[in-house]
Amino acid sequence: MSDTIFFRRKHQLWLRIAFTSFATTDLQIKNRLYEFSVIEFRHLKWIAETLVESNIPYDYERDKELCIESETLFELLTLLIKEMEEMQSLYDDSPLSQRLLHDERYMIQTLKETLACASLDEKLTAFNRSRQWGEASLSSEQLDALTLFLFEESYKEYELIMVYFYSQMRASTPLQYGSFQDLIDESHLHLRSFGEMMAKMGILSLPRMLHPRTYKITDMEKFLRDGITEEENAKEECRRLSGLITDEKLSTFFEFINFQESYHIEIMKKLLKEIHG
Amino acid sequence: MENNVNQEVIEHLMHPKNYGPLENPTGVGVGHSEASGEFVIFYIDYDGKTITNVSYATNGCHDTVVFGSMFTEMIKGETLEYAYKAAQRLTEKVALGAVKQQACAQMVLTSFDAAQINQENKANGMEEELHAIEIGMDCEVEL
Repeated sequence: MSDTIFFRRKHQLWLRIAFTSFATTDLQIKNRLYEFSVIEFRHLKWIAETLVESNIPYDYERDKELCIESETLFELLTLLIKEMEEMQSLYDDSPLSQRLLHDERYMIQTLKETLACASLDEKLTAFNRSRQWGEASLSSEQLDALTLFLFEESYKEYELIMVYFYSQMRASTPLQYGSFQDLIDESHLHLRSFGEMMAKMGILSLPRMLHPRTYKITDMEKFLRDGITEEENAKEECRRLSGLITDEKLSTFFEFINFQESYHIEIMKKLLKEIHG
Repeated sequence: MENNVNQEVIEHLMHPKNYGPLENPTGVGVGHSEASGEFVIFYIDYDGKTITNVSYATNGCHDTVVFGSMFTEMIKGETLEYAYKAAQRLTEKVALGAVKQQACAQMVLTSFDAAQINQENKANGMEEELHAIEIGMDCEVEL
């Protein structure tokens, strides 16, 4: 069960579930799907640990055709069920496999119950490219700035999750492991926030695939120093957007993100100190 | 691209064309900035007459993604001579825009140049997985 291809499929499944959760406007379904995506990411972590322990290489390659654009929520849920049902035959008798198998059986059953209730289907607007911000009236300049920011940062948060995840699996001390976990958790929160905003603007799309050069870190010190610079750039962008966008709720949100980035820098400095003294 | 986020740009951002590694390319090149850690990796498959397939990947900004997507679309299925002219046209066009966009375009075009050098080196018997060229300009996010 634990091989590179299996890891890739689980990686894709996690992404598919998370982004389906961003796409729907039904809060109950959204939250349930997001919980499932959290479980899937945990699966991914356990699989990665098994692979690293066994010295089996894995990567973040994905099917080039992987796409989440659909007209309706039920189309996306049907695809999720199909993907999970296909994976059922890949599990063996190990305790880890059995855990994964039973988690996904429960997910399949839950999603099928949703499909049985026709009134829960919705025509999705997450991919309609409308680029409107709901209740707030933003100028075209503000909308452009927000659009580019969301594309930029949703990719970056995905990249950070996967880069920290790769490094965490190879951490040599509890402090490193814990710090990477903090950074991963924070980036999950940001990815979710930005994904929800992209869906609201009709521009939701999967972040592009990561090249191994991005996550196979050969110089951790340089990686952390570059990461601190990137966080500082992201803070600056949040500040700029907060000032540029006149909508109070959005402005407050970017201030909130800005302060979170500040603490990321502190965690990275701690890691830097621990790794290189 | 700044202040000009039209539907074409949105499509390139949502679904970048020719993205991800190629199987058995004839040339692989990297354009990268040591200062920012950003890179573009370019894959080319050339049969001696035409560029039969081409792709790229990057950890760079949205401008780099859009330039890579547009440029690979322009040169796929064309001759190398056409590709050089397309690269020249792109350089001239971005020279009129922001410095940041020039850096992004340069990173894409440098990786294309590097892929051809790698192709030539391999044709001359050199064992080279990829050819990398550092660029001097920084591509920093600036919305």
